[in-house]
Amino acid sequence: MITLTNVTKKYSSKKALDNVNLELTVGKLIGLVGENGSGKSTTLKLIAGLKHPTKGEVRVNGELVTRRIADSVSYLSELDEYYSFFTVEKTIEFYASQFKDFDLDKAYEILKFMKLDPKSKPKHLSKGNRGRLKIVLSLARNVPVILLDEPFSGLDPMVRNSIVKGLISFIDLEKQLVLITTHEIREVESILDEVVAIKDGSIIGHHNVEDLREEKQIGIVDWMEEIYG
Amino acid sequence: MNTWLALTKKEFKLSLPAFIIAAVLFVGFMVGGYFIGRNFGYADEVLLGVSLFASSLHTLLLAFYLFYSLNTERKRLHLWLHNPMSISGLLSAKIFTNFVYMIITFAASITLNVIFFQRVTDLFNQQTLFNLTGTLLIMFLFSSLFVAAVFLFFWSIFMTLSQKMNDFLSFVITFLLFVFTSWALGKVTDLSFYQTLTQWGEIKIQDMFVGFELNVDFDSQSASGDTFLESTFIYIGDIIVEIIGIIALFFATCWIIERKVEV
Repeated sequence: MITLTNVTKKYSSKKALDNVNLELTVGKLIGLVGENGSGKSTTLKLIAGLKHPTKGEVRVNGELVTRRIADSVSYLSELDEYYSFFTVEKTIEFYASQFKDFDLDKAYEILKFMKLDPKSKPKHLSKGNRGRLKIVLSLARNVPVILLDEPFSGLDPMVRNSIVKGLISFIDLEKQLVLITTHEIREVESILDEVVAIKDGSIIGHHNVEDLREEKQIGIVDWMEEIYG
Repeated sequence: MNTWLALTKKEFKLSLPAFIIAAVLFVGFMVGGYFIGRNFGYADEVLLGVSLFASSLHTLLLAFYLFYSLNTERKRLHLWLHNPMSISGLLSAKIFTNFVYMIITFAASITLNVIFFQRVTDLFNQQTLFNLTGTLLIMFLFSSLFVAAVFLFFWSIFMTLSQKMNDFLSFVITFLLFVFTSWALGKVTDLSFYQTLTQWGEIKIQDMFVGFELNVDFDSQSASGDTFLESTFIYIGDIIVEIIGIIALFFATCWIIERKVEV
């Protein structure tokens, strides 16, 4: 479970997050949506312990978050940067050496699904394929929390849908919580259990996607258009 | 341990370009020195000078390697910091690999020092040469570790500041902080209290010279070489303080990166 209690994050005088309270439970695929600069990436980095809150606290499974929460949190950055001297295969092996929960078999299974050449170097891959490699590296870990920051950016729209649907098979929703930030809301809508909307550093809505559909008869995009005005 | 070793392997690959640059420069200096020296008929003397200069540059080389490695890492900081290992583990892998790289060219330059020294002069016997080389080796290694520890400490301060302001301003403030700290430390080391605290465990420089006598004439005021060497010491206390300084700076750096540096 992830809890953010009265979390504020400031960059100089600008507030990226303003007194955020959020509770996310295991066994769900949750979308964190909002405009550019609304605080989505900051939220993920705070949960991954890669940023420190100015005020408040962030906990993962009751443990106060520090950088070393990497032990139980898999974080996928919005940047597709890799060590240039490693091939795809060596990158996977390096990750496997650093995270004891890294499942090599699962990594190669996802790699095959993503149709990536293990012998190629990430710097020679297209933006979309570098994005696929990020997904391989983050989903191959058997961790309670997976944070994916814009995992589908750069992916070819033709294959985006099939990749989004394929992701589900690599996630253990009994034990894992997956938090995704994305602009490709229509593509992920069908797989999300919950959606959290963030605007100017404040949470402006947190709903069960099914409830939205049943009670309000609207999808996430319509709901967002409603709350963002 | 396997995790750390795998990380170390990555660090070797990461710093390899910096090592190649240093190795090529070293070979280039030696070859250049050889041709220049040969033209003037003093090849051995010039090569001794160049190899001594190269040895002394090694006090900065570890810091240069670390700068290269950390600067490369800075572009993808999340890859380096999103790791369950402690910062001391992450940093020690960098220090170890870059220290190994430094030792390779350092060993070559020290060996060349000895070879060309013996070809240029027979002033010292084997025992004295061995003693002097050993002392210089230890002094250079400690100095390079100390410079590296100072660099890491100020790099962590620069990284902390760069989150709040631009790189140029962060660099200027870090540099001013470095100058002020150096000045303040200089004042502290001049205190008689500090000297009482550190000047113990004397090692006479004279003891390193075996079967050697030096007479120095300073403007007609004659001084015996023995008196000059007798009054020059290396203090174990100074070395201990330097080791404590290196360890303290390392852990301060770890603390700052762990708590202040963000991705």
